[in-house]
Amino acid sequence: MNIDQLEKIQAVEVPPFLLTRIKQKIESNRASLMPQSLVKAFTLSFLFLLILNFGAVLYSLKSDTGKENLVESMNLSTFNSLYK
Amino acid sequence: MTFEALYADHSRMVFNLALQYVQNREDAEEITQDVFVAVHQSFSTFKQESSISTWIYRITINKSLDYIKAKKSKKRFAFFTSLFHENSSDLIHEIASFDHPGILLEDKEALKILFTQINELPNNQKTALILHKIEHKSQVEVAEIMGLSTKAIESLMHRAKMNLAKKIKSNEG
Repeated sequence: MNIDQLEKIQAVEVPPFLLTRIKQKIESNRASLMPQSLVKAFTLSFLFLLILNFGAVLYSLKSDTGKENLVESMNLSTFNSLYK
Repeated sequence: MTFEALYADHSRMVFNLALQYVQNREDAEEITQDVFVAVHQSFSTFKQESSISTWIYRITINKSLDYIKAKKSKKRFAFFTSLFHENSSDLIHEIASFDHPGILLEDKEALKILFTQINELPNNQKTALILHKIEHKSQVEVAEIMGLSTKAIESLMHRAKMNLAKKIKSNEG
């Protein structure tokens, strides 16, 4: 067996209708993909909701400390137990 | 340049190169389809750092190697599932189909054995060998396609030949 036998291999022609099949594959890929504008809209709305949630959490943390300060300044009990 | 023109210029090269990797018409058709879908998707982002044909050669090589990898893992999975199913024992003994349309009938047996040995080579040695020996590319062209130096290609070719000679010897002996 000789490696030079590889040189005997001949080039062959491309089967017909392959271009049509490729075009069909490209079209089916395109149809299954979400439009770019829709992807952008989803990303933006997700980011907006994330920022909104983050802001709401921060705001609630801030307002909780305000309540505690008010309770302390009015000398109100923060315990629920009646006998303390 | 239109997609049709690109296909007309390069489809023969893509199909034949894929054939050297898989030695099977159906698989080569599958790879050719994948290559041109990838070309269509990324043609707008193609940077003119290399020629279009070098770029398509690289895509074909990558797609062919990916295809072989996927097929091997599929076979491995089929083997494992066959262990648990009594009726699928034929899968274990499945022989890869050798249907290279560019090989004459009288050379078929010898080249089938040679390709079995080539398929066991590391991917870079296999690619260098295919491009140089079958696709008749010069070492400079192979170096450009593989993104390596000419010296590296020389060394890859030398190692590929040595490994093949060893495999052939052990097969014959």
